[in-house]
Amino acid sequence: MKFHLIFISFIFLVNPLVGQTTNTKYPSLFLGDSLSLIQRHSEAFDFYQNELNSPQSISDTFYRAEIYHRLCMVSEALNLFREAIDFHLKWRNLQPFTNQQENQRYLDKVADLLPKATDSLGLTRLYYRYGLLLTREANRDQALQYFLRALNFANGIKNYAAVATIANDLAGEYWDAGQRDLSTKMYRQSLEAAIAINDSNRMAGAYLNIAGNYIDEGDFKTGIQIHLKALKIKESLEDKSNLSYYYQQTAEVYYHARNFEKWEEYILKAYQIKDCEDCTSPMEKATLYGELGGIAKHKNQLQPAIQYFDTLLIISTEIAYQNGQKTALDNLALINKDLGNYKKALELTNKSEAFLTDNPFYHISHNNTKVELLQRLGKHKDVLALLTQNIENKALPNYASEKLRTFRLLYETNLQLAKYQDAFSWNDSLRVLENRLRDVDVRKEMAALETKYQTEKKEQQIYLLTAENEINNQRIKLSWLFIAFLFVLLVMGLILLFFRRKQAAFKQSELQQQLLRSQMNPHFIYNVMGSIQGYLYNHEAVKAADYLSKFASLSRSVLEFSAQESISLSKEIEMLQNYIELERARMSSPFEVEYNIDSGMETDFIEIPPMLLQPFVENAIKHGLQNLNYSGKLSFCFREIQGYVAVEIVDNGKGLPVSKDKDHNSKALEIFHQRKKGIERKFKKEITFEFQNLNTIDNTKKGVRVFLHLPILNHD
Amino acid sequence: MIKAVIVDDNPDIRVTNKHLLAEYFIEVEVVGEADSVEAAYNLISQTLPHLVLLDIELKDGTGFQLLQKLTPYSFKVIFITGYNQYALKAIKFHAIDYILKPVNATEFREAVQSTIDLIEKDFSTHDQNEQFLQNFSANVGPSKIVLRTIDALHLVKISDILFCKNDNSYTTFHLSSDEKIMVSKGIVFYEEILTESGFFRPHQSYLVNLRHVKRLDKADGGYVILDSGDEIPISSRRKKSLIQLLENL
Repeated sequence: MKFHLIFISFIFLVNPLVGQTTNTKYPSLFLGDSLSLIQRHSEAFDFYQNELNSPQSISDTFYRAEIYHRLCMVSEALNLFREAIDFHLKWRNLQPFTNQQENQRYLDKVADLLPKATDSLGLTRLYYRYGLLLTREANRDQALQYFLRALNFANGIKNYAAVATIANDLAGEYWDAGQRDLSTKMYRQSLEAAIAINDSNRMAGAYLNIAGNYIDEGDFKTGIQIHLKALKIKESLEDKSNLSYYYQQTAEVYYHARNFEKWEEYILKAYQIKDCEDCTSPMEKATLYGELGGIAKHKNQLQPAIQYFDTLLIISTEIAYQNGQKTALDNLALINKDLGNYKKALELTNKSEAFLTDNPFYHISHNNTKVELLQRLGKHKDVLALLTQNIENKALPNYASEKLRTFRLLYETNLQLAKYQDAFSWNDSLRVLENRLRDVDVRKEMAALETKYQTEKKEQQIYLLTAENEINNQRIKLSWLFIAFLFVLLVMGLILLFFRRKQAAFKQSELQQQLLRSQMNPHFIYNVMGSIQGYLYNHEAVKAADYLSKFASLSRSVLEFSAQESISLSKEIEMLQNYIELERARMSSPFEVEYNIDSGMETDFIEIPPMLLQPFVENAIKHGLQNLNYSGKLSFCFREIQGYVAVEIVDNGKGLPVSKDKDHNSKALEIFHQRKKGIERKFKKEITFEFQNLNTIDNTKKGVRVFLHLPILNHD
Repeated sequence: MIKAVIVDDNPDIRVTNKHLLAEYFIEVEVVGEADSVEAAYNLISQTLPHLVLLDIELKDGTGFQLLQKLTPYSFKVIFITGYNQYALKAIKFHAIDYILKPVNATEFREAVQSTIDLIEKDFSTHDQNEQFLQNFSANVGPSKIVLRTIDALHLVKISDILFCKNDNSYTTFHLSSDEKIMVSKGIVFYEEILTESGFFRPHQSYLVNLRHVKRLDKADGGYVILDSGDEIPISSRRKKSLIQLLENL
């Protein structure tokens, strides 16, 4: 690392570009700057990325902006255009330019970069976000262009969710730009996209926005028709999200159409769900109180109205909702005006001026309110100036009710100033507009639409109930079918279980046999170990080693044969010899062994169950041949008799104890009995054995003879 | 003086082998030990031993990999192995001496003595080695078997063997060239390794190459008649499986 730094600082001195790209204000970024200087961009990229998470970066936005700036350049050098744009946008979010020229240069730069990025989904987002940025910069024309490009991309990759969102935003922009037709067209595109992805929330939203356009233009009939469509979607899907907003918007339409009963009805609907967080956002709760205030004011209940608007003010202040604060103050001003407190009213109006946003509606509405006050105070000059401002506002046709209000105020003012000609002209415009808006026919039609909607809703409810009944009937039928099916399944399951059990039992016995075969008597193992230990203490290393290798050889055979069901007789005898050698090696004066194998026997071919003889040999040695004061002898005789190997094991030891109780039964013999049962069941061949004390035949003889018959497994 | 190298990743086994060599073979000098393919390669390249005691499983590979790296080599190998049936079969096939772990002094003496005989008689094991390694790398069944007699190492094509006859713990190979080779190993040893190469033991004393079976004569309990005219008796216990085997050929 040290070497790096020295090397880098050398370049630092000779490279004339240093001053341009590095900022000495942030020494902690020095390493990254240096890396990017010597073209090690990807390392620089990683370094800056890491630095983004540093405590300084998290607490200091200027510092973070600086890192983003560098990341833009490094990403560009790495041809990561999408990332470059992303970082550009992030950088600009943190550090806005104050210099107009620099700002333009920046915007051009990103615009240059955009075509280089290639991932469509990413591009959609980037164009969209760039558009949003331009909107904030109040560069609406360019913003519209980028939104359109984003929309094209989204359409191209058939990402309808994106199409719906972008078209919706674009429509808003067009509306504000006064291009009402395009706005409605965009809302319709948003609607189509929402239908394509079956997104009811977006669908309803699009309907609402389209309706809003019509209503603002004064076409209440179409407006309410589309409005009710939106509501229908919401209610039929029982989709409660933002429901309050929908009710309030519908109420608003009725208010504009002077249908105050319906206005109140829908506001009360919204009021009922005001505590449901899903349906009512804090902002909607605020506007709801505004509406309630409006209703109270309309009924001339001024005190409750003041209370409602105060609530609106409090809630709006809490959530920093400027338009709410403004509406509250304006309305309070109007009430004060009605109460004759003009001064207080003007004071409130001025106060509300602080909450003006760039939304033209509030400018127009604010002017109108102020005019109403100034009229009473006789300040006609100011009044005319404000009204002229409204008339000249391009957005005025977008807001039918405020337009009406402006016309009415112009008529009243001119009348007061005795300018009858103008007054008459304004009155004319006022009537035309008013008639258009509140035409009796229109109102009738709207009422009819409403009734139709309610009827439809009821019909739908009836349909739903019928459908539910139908479903219930079918459910009962299905239930029967299902029960029958379950029954069949149960029977089949039981049959399967029966066979499985049989199979499992078979497998179990197999495993058991294998396990039994592999069980070397632990007592034997410990004896072997004990012997080895003894040799070691006596420093008889050679004996120990020899003994150990014999044991290894035996355990090798046991391991190999325990997996087999049968073994050739020669191998069984070999294993037996191995075992006997091991036993003999432990004795100070070992017994003699003798094997007699019938020469005509094919010992390599005869297959018998493995390791059945060992327990008898073990028994003979342990209970017969140990600690004798004469030389012991163990002899074997193998013959073949009609599908059996007849084995005779004879020792000249102490003989069987007179009372042979169970304690004397060795573990080995116990295992033998278990295996005997299993083998007999499997091969349908009997294993027989018989103990004989030799002294019962001949008094002079000692020891035991064992007769064994082992089945030959490959005997036809 | 015979120079020997012990290659095993278990230091205790190296001690045992060194001890046994010192105790029984005064003419052998252990010139080095190694526990990995790499170390063994360097050691053998430097010391040029006559005899290598080689474990199959090493730290960084197998004993076969070591031999492949060293090919061609002239030293003799004794394999030391635990429980690797596959490797053991290949070793037996090529008449290479081997010792099973844990080491049994008797077996050890026999194996080392047998290999020292080879060195003293200056038998070339070059063909044997090559065949052995080829068998491993090609991963196909062997086409030749190594038969070791008192005075030579015979590399015999398996297809040239007619049958083997057992005679007390000796086995005589009868070849199609009328040559006979007697080896001091029991027939069971060859039955084990040749069954996969298409051999069958119709009788306690005979192992037959099924390629050379001309027909079965069912008279008198049955005989296998070979191309060469030799008649091999069939044990009644083996008749059924022999007929099955020939039908499936």
